Amino acid sequence: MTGWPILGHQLAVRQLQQAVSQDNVPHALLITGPENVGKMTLAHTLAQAMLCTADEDRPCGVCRACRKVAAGHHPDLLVISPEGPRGKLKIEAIRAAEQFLALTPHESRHKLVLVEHFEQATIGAANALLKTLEEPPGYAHLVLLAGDSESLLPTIVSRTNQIALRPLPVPLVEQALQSRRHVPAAEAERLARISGGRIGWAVRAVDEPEHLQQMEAAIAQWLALMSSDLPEQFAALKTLSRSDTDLRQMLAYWLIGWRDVLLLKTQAEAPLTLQEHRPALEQLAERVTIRQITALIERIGAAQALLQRNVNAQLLLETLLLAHQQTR
Amino acid sequence: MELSCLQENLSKGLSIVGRAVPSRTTMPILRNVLLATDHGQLKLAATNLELGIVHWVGARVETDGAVTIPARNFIDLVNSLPAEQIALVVDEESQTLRLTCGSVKASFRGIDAEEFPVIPEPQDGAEMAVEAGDLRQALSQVTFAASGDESHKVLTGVLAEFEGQTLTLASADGFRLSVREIPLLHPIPQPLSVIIPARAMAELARIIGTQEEPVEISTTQPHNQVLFKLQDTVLNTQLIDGKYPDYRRIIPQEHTITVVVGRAELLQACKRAEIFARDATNIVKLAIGDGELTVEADSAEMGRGSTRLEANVEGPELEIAFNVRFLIDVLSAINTPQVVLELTTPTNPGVIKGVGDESFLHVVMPMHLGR
Repeated sequence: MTGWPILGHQLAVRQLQQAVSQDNVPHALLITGPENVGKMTLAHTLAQAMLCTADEDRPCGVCRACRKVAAGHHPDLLVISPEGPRGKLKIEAIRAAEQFLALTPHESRHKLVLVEHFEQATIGAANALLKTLEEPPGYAHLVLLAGDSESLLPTIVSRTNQIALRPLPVPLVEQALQSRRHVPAAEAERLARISGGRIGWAVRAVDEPEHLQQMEAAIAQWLALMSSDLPEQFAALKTLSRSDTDLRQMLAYWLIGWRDVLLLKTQAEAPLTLQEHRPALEQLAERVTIRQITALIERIGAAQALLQRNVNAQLLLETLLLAHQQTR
Repeated sequence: MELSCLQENLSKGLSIVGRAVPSRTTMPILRNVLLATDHGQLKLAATNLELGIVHWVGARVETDGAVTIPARNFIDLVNSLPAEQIALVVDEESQTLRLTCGSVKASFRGIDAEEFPVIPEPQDGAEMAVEAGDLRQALSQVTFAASGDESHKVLTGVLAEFEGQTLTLASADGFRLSVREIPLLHPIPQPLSVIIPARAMAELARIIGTQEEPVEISTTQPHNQVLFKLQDTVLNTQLIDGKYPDYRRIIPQEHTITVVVGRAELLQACKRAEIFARDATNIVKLAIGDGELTVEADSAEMGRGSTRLEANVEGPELEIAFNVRFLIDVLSAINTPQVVLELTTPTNPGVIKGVGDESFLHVVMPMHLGR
């Protein structure tokens, strides 16, 4: 058996490869893991392998079915995702998937639905999916992708086979960036470090420089916010919450920042993610206690969860900043 | 690819396959029609992934090839052309189709035919066959009773049961049931039961049109699709996965009242009653008395109307209410001069059949008279 074109995640890949070759892929799979860790790539490769018409070593990558999956128009594959970065996965999308699965496969023996960001499904949408999860047609396979299983309905999780993906080792990402993307060593080291092992993020940072710039802007903004006074902060937040910035992503960057501050404060050995901002981080570390940092990290995590539930973004950020204020 | 064909033939063929081109789709290639050479003919194909239609047009083929072209624009252009020879040439490199017809020149940017969904083709020696006339009539008697409610998918289909010498088509929407049997031209060894989307069946009825040659029916392995092969056209349809409810249990086994009445007269009376009924949830009342049947409808705002028909009644008197739309649908689909209604009580389903025609049966639930 030759390998799938997937970096790392050996256990999950081996497990799925075996299921494909023995033709017993579960009807419902739940792939969890941090953003950009490779969930969609894995699901997509699984779909390609299941729809591939080659006799062995699927996906072959060259047959008509493989090429159609790659181009995104295989008639037996449907990918549904929430509308927009802050959007919800609506019940209409789930209904469309049900309609899709109600009819027999077109070219293959299987029919697959990949559901991206399932954690953003509305309660109604999640419940609508239960029926299909309960008794799917023999040819139907559902692959749900989500950040973690805790944010999903237990009734959904219990009906799926779960595959948890973890961030890759940073050196592996660094190596891949150099060998596959021909990124210069220093840059590869930096991107791999910032990515924290989320290969998709690093690749995107290479392909779309604005993605990296966005992060740098977010970090700069965060450092600026930390050293400005309350009225300035509130004014900045007002603009932020009304802009179409992906706030969850922004909070994720803040977390990276606070992690580094915590590392400095505890004088830990681990390398800083934001090595470039060391002086500013050190300044910040002098002003706060470890207890305050851990409390803040917890609050940011809670805020990220709340953002998924359609709360008032401005209010949420303001409360978060007031918590930051106490650190001054 | 290089070929020429007659404008009339191409236009007719496109009008047949064009029905399968979806108006809304997430897969842009489905908006295209496939043009391919096939054994010295031009093959046209389109699909919406529920049903697909393939049609062959006579052509003089110079070199083989295939391409897909945006359907709407191509069809509109071909329809606008004079009734002359059309020359079609595909530049494989750029996937461009160039068309010449008299003084008209046009070119279309296509998409590689490889990207088009695979269209199944019937193998030689079709497994089953029926008379076109039988199938046409059966479809008109059955498809209308299928449900439009997509949340209960199996009921949006028509159940097709092939067994021995008979094909039985059935559809139901929870309020009514239509069952029609037609003979198979040769017996089949293995029974087969599939649920076919009613939309595909309606399209099949349209394509059969006036054709008289037998329609060959086959399935693909492993029973994913059903193919109906007509003279120059093949319609393939995906199947609905699921278990069809046991409709035979819904058919009343006995009745106490039999009413025989002229079909056209009853249909006319129902259409008249509908004028009043359409404002009042389509309720019409059938009053069955001695040798007569009165069809009446009553609208609190508009007024009322009734028609008394002579009928051959056996059994006690009865007043029963039905949805007039349902009665009109079934009476329009029956083609015997007289129909028979078999009833028991105002709350039990009624059976409607054509007199002297044992192959068709319709069951309709009564409505509540609300008194």
